[in-house]
Amino acid sequence: MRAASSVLACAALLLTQGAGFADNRTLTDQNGRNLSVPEKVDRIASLVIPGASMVLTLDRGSDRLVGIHPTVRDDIKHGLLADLFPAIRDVPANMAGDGFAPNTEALLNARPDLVLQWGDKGENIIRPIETMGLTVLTLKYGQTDYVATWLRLIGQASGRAERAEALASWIERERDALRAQFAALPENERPRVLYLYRYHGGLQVAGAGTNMDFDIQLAGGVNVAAKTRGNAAVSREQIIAWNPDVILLSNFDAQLTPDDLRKDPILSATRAVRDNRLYKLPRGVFLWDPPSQETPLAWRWLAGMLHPRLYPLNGFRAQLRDTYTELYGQPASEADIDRILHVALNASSSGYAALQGAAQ
Amino acid sequence: MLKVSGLGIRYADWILRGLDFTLGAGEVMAILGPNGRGKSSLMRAIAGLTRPDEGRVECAGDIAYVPQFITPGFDMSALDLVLTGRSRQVGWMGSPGARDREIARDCLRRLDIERFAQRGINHLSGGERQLVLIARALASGCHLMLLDEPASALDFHNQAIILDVMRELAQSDGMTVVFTTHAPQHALEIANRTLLLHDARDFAYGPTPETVTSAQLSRLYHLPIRRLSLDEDGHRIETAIPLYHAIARRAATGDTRA
Amino acid sequence: MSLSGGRGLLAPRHGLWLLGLGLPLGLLLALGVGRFEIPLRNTLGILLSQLIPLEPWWSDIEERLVTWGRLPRVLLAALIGAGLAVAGAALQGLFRNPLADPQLIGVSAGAACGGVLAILLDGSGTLLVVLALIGGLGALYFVRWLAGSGGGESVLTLILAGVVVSAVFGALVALAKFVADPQNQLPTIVFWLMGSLAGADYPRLLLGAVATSIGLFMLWLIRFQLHVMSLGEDDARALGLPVTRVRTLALIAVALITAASVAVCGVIGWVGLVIPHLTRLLFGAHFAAFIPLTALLGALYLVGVDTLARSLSDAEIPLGALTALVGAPMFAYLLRRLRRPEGA
Repeated sequence: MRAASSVLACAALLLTQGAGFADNRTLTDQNGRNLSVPEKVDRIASLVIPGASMVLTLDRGSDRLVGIHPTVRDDIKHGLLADLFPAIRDVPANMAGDGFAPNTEALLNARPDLVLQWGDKGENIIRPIETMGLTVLTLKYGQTDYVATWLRLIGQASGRAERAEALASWIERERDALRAQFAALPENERPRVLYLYRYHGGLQVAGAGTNMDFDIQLAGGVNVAAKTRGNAAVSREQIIAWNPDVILLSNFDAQLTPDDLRKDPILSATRAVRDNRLYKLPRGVFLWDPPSQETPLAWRWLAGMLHPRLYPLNGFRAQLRDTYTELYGQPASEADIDRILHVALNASSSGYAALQGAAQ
Repeated sequence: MLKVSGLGIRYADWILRGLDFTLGAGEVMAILGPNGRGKSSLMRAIAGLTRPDEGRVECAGDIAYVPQFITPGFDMSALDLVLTGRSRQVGWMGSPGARDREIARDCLRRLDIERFAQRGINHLSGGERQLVLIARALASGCHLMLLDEPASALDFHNQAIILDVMRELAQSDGMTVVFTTHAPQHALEIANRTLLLHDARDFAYGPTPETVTSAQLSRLYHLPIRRLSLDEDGHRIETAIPLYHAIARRAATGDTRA
Repeated sequence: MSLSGGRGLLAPRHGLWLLGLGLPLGLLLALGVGRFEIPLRNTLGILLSQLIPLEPWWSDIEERLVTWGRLPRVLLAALIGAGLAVAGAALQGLFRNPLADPQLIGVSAGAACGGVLAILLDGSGTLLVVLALIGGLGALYFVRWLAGSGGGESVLTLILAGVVVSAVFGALVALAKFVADPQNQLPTIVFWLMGSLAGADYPRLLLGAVATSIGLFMLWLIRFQLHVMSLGEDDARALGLPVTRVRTLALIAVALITAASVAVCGVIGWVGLVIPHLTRLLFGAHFAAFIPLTALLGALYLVGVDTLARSLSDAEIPLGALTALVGAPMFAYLLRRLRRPEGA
């Protein structure tokens, strides 16, 4: 009798929903929302910028991506994304507007089984998607090591839990190893680092609470701009007053090169310029500035730049090639690696000789 | 000095048409008419501020226009206001020189208001402000001065001062003066000639004693007005008195005649 | 004491002395202040060494900071402050509206639109400056055309045309933000529109100095005519002033000053609104000294506010926000005084 009634109930649900209720999986996303995801996820739309490359990593291909954030076009233009995954060029990028506001009609057109959206920017960018009956997985932005959580959640929601877990725990192991490495480092041996977020069109630096602030500390450095918050506008004079040992140049200001600082009448007086410790951050399939599956590589690279003696980057190119094989199923060529590491731009910076390819 | 021929002004309809008059140098002319009859429009046309729709205005000298009020964007001293009278001489750039300042001060002195020179014009009484505006017109070196209701908002004492100034300017400077007013007694007091604007095409113009009569005034204002002569210390004073109560009585009896 | 009186708290002559001496002092003080501590005697030495040969007792970096960093920035702040204040004063006289400001007649919006276009075209600093100027003057032309470029235009149609033109250029800026590359161009646009003197350097100073000086000189030439215009167009015309010519000249000067300031440091509001009123309050409205006094006070004000913006905290405080924050309460105070019955 009881069995019969539950069969009836199931049948009724099948009729009304058209999809198998019993086949759904439930999980809790980063906002603590419980959601039920179809067992078979074939189509994923990501309104979060790094979502695209994480799905690519889990799948080693772009087949399941049906929507990406327009900013990912930048990685196609400047980075290696389209070299490794040419099909990404055809994925629509019309579903996220200003401030990640969803374009629900474009989203419905893409018929996604799963939508990735930020969970820390208010309900207004989530609710319209849910109203359309789509399943939304929310991620939170803020700390670089959230990337491990993102991978786990996307993996669980899209049926790649095992691979996601392997990648996530690799990221956490790398993080813990670096933490251990520099835990006992006295304050006076930590280089004072500035991350120059923007140079052209107004100086901005990464203050407290940014990913780069986290990364600099993890790699055994001190963020000189820690008294500011977020991406802060500062004067040249403030940078002189900080007098950083190392200046990291962001990829968000694509035109920014070490030579800009060498030619700047004021900033050229910083210790970082005098000692030639200016580094354009590398850029692979994804930028190395914000968190992504390539973040462990970014951490190692940064530690190597900050501590050339304590943390020599011998064999980093080989590591990078192997990691790419593991992440994307295809190795990076020597020329790719030169591009990723901005070898040409950073050639004259202190310590970069160790990262030069055999050919040079 | 001033010759107006065939003058016509229209907005939707003609408010004035076919107006002719001439005025000689040193003469004082009063313009009387009910509200909305076109006194101010006529003054603006004579001043050249608006182009008449018909006819011509000819004047053998510079004209200055004294508005009833001015509303400056910001307060300024009386002297600075009088200096603006020198605009024509200063031109479209540059600043008034020492001579312009001297003339401005002279004009204030002339009207016995030099003590106001540094006072803000928003801090002057209505009569004082009117004198400053006349001083400004004087500073422009004009030959014909047009005054729009110069005494309307003033008390009797100040009315007397303004009337005296206008008469004095005409008599000792040979200034031609044209002013509008609602007070027939002002016309009778100082004007050689008076223009009455009865209707768009209906005017009366001539020497004041013959023009400003009981009959003409009663017709002009649709109210019985009596002209009176008084003997005051051997002087003959001409004035006019409106019989205000006539309106109330007319309403009571149903009489619609003027 | 009265705000609207012909006289202020101080005689204009004393005001000229006070501000004439105060400005160089203020500039010196501003040059001595910053996030990097430089002893005042070193700052003075560095400045003097530009004029006479001196054996340096200061460090190389101090010299670079003062000559390449603070000096162009402080001078630019002074110029822009003077320019915007006088431009506001001219418009207030012209329109007899105490709320008139360069933003009112659409010039700021036009200049901002030109500058944003330059950023979209990945233009250099020079292109930005040139397009901002073209945008500002274009907006002015557009406004004059809308208002009827003959002699008959009235203040009201001019202001309405300014509203329309501001709306159009504002919409174009919003559209430009929409098509801008969100990672590279959009942050630049947002930063620039916010208004900042952080990008001050000698090329910008030169451009700001040339355009602002020409504009200021033009307005100084017609100071008496602007005084007459403040009585109203009708009265000015009756006094024999060539109203249209004076207004055209004043508007061109205002556009030049505004566009140059937008080009070199983005949109900075409230200076043109607050300073002329403050000048009147302090020194009265005597026209002969009004423009120099307004210029000096505006220069001092923006130098002061910008010094706060760059030296209060590690991060720069947005200058536009600070001028509004200082300006709005000051204006509210002035407004309450203005509302008192006149002549009472």
